[in-house]
Amino acid sequence: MSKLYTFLKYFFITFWTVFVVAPFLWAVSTSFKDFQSVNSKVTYIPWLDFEPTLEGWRVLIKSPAKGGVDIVEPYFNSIFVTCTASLISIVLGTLAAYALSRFTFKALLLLMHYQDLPLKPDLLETTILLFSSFHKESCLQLYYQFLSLFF
Amino acid sequence: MNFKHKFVFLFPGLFVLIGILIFPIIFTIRLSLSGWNSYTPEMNFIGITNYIRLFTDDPRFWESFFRLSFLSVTTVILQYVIGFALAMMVWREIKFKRFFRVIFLVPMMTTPVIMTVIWRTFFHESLGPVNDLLGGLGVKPILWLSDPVIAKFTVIIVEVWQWTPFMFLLLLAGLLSLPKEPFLAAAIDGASPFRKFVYVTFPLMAPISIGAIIIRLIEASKIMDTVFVLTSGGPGTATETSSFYIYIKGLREFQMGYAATLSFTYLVIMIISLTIIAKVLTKLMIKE
Repeated sequence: MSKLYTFLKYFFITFWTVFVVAPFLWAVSTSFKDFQSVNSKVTYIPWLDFEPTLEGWRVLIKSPAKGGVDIVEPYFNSIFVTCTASLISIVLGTLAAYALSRFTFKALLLLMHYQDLPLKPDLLETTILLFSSFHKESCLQLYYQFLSLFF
Repeated sequence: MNFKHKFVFLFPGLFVLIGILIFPIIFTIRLSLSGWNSYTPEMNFIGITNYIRLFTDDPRFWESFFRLSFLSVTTVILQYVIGFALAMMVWREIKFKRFFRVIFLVPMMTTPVIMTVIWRTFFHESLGPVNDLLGGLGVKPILWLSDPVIAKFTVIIVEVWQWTPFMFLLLLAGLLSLPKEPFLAAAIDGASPFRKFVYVTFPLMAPISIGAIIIRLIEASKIMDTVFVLTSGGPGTATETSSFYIYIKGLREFQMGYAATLSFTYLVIMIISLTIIAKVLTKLMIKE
């Protein structure tokens, strides 16, 4: 590989990384600002541009009675919803996936023949493959979710 | 296995599918034939009056539809090109491969609405860092959110940021699962990197590419949260998309019957156009 190609490759990757990370950095930086330094002018670096304050973070820890924000209940809600939804889709998806892979359904064959996109098995397998390398434990769940999606 | 065991396994899923998919569609069709609004909230029957109104007297819907087509096609093309480039780059030997792969996936894992709020402060015209940094380079402040043309591109930027990782994920998975033999053959024949890409990698990736593009097109044509938070369809109606217009008609003005008409028409158009797009892409990219 030529030097130019390597240079362009790393340039592009660095550029994209900055683009991806920038909003997060901005959010983190803003979380330490007080009202004044958000609303008067653009500031970036703590201590240099503005005096950092932990007020925003303190509100998270305070109890709602003392003027804080309740973050426990919303968190519990999202965990509950996620778990329930996954459970239901795993059960239904497993049953349906088993039936679809074990037996043949004439109606389904017709449907697959009708939309002859050559992608279904490939896409499924490759997606699972990659997900499995990132987090192995959720691979199985994803498999069933994908199956339930496609059926 | 002559008894219908197989249906016992299939039925739970099928019933849920009917309950959450088929029934709402039929209900929407029925609703679209009624004049349900805030004055007469009832399921009366007014025939195809709503459809006549849509096709003769509602340019705003068609404008929002063409705007949506522009936005979704542009974002998906950008996502595909960038996602493919990124996947190609971290596919083979590169330093910190695992680090980059994870970093590139981070936007997909975040909540679109919250990230869009951050993007809105990011693009804020007087208090956002983008205009400030550009000002440092001597560029005049750009009206990211209040110029009718630039606002569209701001939406595109945010969408590309949010969903390129998905494209990247699918394409990288595809690249990693490619067989090695064609590449070996190409190397033995002494193919240049460019030719290798055009004649080996790209054709092998075509099925996965089509799948990824179609999935993203379906997702992108439902774009609503980004527009809602970033610009609320504004300035004027410059970034209003179909789903946002349907939301305004249905849940702000409570013209439920008419909103159902819009939704159903939209569904039919999307099914037809996506089928055509899938066929055309298959024709173009897979040469038998």
